[in-house]
Amino acid sequence: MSTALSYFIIFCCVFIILTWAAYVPFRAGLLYNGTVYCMAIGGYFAALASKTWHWPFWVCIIGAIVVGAILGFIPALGFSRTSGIVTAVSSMALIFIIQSVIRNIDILGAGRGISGIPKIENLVLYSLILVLIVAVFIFRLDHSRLGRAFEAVQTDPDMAATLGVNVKIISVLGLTISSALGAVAGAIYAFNMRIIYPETFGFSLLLSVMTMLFVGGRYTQWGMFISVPLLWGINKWIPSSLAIYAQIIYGVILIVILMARPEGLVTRKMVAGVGRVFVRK
Amino acid sequence: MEQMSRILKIEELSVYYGQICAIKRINMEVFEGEIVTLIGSNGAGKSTLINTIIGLQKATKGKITFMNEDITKVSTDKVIKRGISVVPEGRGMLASMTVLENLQLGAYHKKNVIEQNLEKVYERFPILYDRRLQKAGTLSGGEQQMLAISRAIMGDPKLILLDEPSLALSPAYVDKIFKILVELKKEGMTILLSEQNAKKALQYSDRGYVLDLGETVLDGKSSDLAGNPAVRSAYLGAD
Repeated sequence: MSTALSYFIIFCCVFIILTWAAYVPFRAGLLYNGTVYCMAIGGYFAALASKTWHWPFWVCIIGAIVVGAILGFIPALGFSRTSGIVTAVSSMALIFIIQSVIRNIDILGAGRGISGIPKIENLVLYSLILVLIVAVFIFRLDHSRLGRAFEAVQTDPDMAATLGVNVKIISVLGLTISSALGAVAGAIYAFNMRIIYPETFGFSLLLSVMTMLFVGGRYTQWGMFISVPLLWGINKWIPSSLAIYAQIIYGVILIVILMARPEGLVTRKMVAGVGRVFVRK
Repeated sequence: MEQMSRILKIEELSVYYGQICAIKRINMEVFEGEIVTLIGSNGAGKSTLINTIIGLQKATKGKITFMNEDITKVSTDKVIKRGISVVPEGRGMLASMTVLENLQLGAYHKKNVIEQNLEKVYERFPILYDRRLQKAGTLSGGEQQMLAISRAIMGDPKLILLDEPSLALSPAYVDKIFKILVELKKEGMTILLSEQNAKKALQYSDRGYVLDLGETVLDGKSSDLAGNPAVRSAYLGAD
């Protein structure tokens, strides 16, 4: 497999998991923009653990999940008291905070970042395995008691409360799960790039993730398999002379899809239709 | 009524929306195994009272006691866990979810009874079994109300609150819904409902409270209220 192709596959895995990290809070009715913050935490933790402490890949991933979940849980306690646009705007602040913190901590390489992250053999395979694990996890979550509570909270938080659902606990759980997933994406990203900078985790990345979520379809977990290769590979699909306009193309695609197909490319109806075909067989 | 069988007690309850008084010093009691109805016109305070009992609306003054425990400041999800369930005005369907998922959510806080209560619900309403995989939003108004009531009983509540259960239903379905409530009462459930269709509500309930502009203006046995000239004139369309 060529290096370019392995990079492409690994980045697709990173963004599929990252987009799922954005999907989970959305399922619970939260407009959460902290996925990039969690990705930075996972990425820096994996970089530090593998380079300084010589932890093996899978231990770094588990560590990133734990640290991401803990550092996602703390702000989640505050965000569980907010809703709608307040959550969206206040969670964006996490991006400023994490970038600023990283720039001022020497052990994290400050503005220089961390380079020389150990190379992982079979990273393509490991990334695909992680996508599979997370896919199964999200599927089980969506079809569980907790998933139904997420859906009820998304539809109407007061209605959900009258069914005995503790809306705050659901919000905290959703954000914590999202943070853990974001951290996994960050860890794979760090191993793929082998160098990590604070500038990576900015608004441009947030825009990419949100575009992938909304274009793919934010009501199912499957749209990411279309939107991520399509949008991440945008530089490959468009003529090289237009590559500098990639961000503009992102924005235009997002607007056009939202206007023409508000639920995104993959809708629940489509998924239900496919499901029925398999059930019949 | 014996003191021991009282399930809900409301004392001097007042609710204000800013400066506007929605409920003023209401006192009320509901005893085990009875159907109690709240009647009154739009803006009388019926929905506000139900929302205050379940904690969606904060009480400004007064006290709400359920099964001898003060629930005035208890959050909604905890009130539901203590044994109150609610059928909200407009049925509160989770339209994008299936009938089955709506029913499962009805027992969210009591997951060990889901299977046995699903069987009971399907036995009572076979149409819900037939439509269990259909989206709730695609059901007719009457079927949605059946689903809303079924969802409310999925968690084995001690008290069911219904806000305008006959709203936007055909006369045939209104009778069906009230007969279901009578069946539930016979099975030992306690029901408090708010209703603009005073005639039906008083026909099927044991006692009633008449609310006007947030105050209780009359209360008593439903048969007595149905015969009261003021009630007949204001709510039953009699001269």
